[in-house]
Amino acid sequence: MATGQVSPKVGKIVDTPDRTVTIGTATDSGTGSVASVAFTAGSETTGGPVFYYTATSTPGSFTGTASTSPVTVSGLTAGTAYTFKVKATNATGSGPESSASNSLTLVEPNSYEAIATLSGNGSSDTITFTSIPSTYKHLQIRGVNVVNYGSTDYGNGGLRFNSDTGGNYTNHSIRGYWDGSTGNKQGINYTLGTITYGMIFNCFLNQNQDSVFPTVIDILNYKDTNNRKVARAYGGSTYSTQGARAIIQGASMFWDSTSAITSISLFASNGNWNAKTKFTLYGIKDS
Amino acid sequence: MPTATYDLIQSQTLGSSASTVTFSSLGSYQDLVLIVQGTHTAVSSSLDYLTFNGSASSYDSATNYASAAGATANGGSYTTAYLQINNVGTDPFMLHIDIFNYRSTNTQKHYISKGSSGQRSYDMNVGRWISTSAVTSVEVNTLSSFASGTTFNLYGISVA
Repeated sequence: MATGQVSPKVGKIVDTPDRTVTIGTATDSGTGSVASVAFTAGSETTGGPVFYYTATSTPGSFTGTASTSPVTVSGLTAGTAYTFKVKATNATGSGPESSASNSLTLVEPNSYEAIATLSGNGSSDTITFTSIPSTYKHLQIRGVNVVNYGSTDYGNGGLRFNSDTGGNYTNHSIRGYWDGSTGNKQGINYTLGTITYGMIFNCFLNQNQDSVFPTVIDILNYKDTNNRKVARAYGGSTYSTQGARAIIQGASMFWDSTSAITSISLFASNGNWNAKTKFTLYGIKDS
Repeated sequence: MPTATYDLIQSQTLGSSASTVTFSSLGSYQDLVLIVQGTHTAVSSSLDYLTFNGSASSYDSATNYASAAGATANGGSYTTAYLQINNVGTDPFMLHIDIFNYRSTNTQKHYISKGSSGQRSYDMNVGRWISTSAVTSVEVNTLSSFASGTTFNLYGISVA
């Protein structure tokens, strides 16, 4: 493999590398576009010092270089199957390529992340998420909340942003309601005027019983400082003491503020979140 | 440190029509999300519903349903978990179902769903399976059949 060129580094005629490069495993870095290609290099017999190793993809001929294993190759496309070969390069040129690696198909990384989970304690009507990362586009809260409304048979739940307890929220919801004790079935179109929280659910349930309400809440463009904030929620509840009752609800709420949302409180009227309540805050990235 | 989640557990696409599609490997997540998209084989109205662990008892639910005929509500105690009513003909439809705390052994199992059937209807549902057993299988059923090509994607969502 000698080419008889003068190495500027070693000041003498050197050959291209003759060492054996044994391919290792190509792995997904988790970003959706970058692979890590491992290899082991044998001993050099006639070539000069190796400057770097190059991994080349097939297809696409994307390359990456490194002085030691592994080599990182960027610019790949998730969903495409790639193999990689590695070669050594010195001042004179490159040695032979390794055999091809395993076939690797990168997976698009999840854009949906769980940020934090909070539970109720039975003595507070408010659960608050703080320290919300600014790395997402939208937020979502999922959970099953549980409230005992005591002597009342209904209660509201709502959102407050940035601890704002002023009358800066408006709401609208549609509901389906069934009362097994009366046979009443209603579709309800309901507007709650300007109030001190953004309503995300309303229970018509049972006195002195835990009301269980699974819900999913979307909070859109929470970092936006140019527009007022909109959130939506859907959820419902079933319970079958004191006559079976159930309600399903879709709700929209509006916060009259252009401030970025930095904290989110979930507020229960007429009761406290009990220890069975669990809310998880998720972040949704855009591309 | 945020945890990446919303993982695809299993995707099924029907090669021929079927009235039941079963997911029996549910992974270890907090919640499940099931998204169904496709058509039915029925030429008249049909009905979709869930069962958990194959159980044919102890469900109750409520529905708010809107169509060209207006909005209405329904509810009751049933032998299955209702998802969508009046899913007419071969209109394309979709279902988005959230199943909460499915692995819990000390709480009842709640679900909420949104369904749409072409230009005909939109509905929301809430329901529960009155059982504290962990859900180990989810069956998606219809009174007619889901047509060939209908897709069922099951996702798992973890907590932080």
